[in-house]
Amino acid sequence: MSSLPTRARREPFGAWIRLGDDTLVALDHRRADRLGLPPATFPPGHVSAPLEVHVAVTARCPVDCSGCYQSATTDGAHVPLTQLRKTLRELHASGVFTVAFGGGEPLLRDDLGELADEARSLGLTPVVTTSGYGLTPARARALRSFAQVNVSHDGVLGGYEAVRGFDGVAVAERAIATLRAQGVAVGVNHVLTRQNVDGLSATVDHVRSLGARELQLLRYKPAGRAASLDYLARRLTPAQCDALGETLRSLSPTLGEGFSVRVDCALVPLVSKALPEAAMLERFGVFGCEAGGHLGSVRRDGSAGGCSFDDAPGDEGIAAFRAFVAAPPEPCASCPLRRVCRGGCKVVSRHLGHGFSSDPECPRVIAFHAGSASP
Amino acid sequence: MSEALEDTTDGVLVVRRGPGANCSSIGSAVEMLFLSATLGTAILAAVAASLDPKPDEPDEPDEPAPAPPPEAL
Repeated sequence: MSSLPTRARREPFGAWIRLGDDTLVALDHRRADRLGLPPATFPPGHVSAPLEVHVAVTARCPVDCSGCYQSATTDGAHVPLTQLRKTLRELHASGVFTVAFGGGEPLLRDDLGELADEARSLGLTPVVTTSGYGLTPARARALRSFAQVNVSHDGVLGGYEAVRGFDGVAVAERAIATLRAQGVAVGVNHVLTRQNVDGLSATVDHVRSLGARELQLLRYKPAGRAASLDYLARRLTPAQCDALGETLRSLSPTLGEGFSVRVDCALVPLVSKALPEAAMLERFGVFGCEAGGHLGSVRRDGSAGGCSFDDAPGDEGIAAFRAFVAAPPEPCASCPLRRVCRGGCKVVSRHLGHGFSSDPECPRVIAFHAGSASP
Repeated sequence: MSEALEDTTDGVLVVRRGPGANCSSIGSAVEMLFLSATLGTAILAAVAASLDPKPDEPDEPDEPAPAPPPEAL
């Protein structure tokens, strides 16, 4: 059985294609030619569009998570539908593959399913993240155009409440069951902090038993309401980072068909001591900080950013991300994982007073500055 | 990891499992972080093979119409 690509775009190296199961594949020119993709020419200095773009659809949320990176509120404004439709058309035209809707709470929009339908009709792969508040069977049915819906669930054994400041476990688990009953593919977003990371293995088992097909692990980031001194009491300790890498390695053989665990871009440096060489990671699409590269964002005002945490005016943030990757400082400059990690999370480096710099929580950066090791 | 991927991947440069559904940061599958070179080579080769047309496959009468070509951008 052959696997035909469902979307493709030419690149200076060859092409990116998307397969029917949403796997992305990069091909060289010869292979792209064999697939019959029309040739393209690229001007000097060409910058490719992101593969994935995160689109904020509302600033409104019914809950008050203490660490909300968007500082969403109960009376926040929705982004106008006309603006979002224009955004989707522009993303399609630029060659983007995946669009991820976020908020605030996207479910507060009555037209969320309509947005997914529109993205699908353009050939984009739509996904969305929700707390699950306000989800009914009827709403879930309207979300069937989404390739996947991720429900926030920060863990068993009190993990959820420790991260968000309230216990939303029952709501999240009801949402997971409701989505599954309506035939919607479900994943779980799990923010890792000092308070819940020790329960990770139990959470993996629990989420799997609920029928989620994926657990997305997220580093706690000091943005929005989380940009405070409290960050220092929530971030993972160096010992927890070391243990996380080994936990992921031990989980790996149990993952694959039917259930997957993902690490976000910001976690890559934290577990870097456990990772293999960059060449292998690159071949299998492991992404560190891709802000301004394979990743982009569209803010509530319609402007473009490097990632959801990029609040620099205009294109300043995107330019800064790209400039850092092109010429990083030490220890990133000579780090063997540089091409994959791309310097770690700049949200963290800025919050901790290091400016736009190497991730100060990366164990390789810590060792470098302590004078104990090369990267 | 000191193993190397065998060059049997026939023009397949990268395979990235997707889509993921997070709206704030981009994710990567953990099972792809710790692949052995043997399994990695097999995955790349399988994807490469899946892109080849299979002219010897018999037509099945109930099979739906062929999918349209990919939207080229």
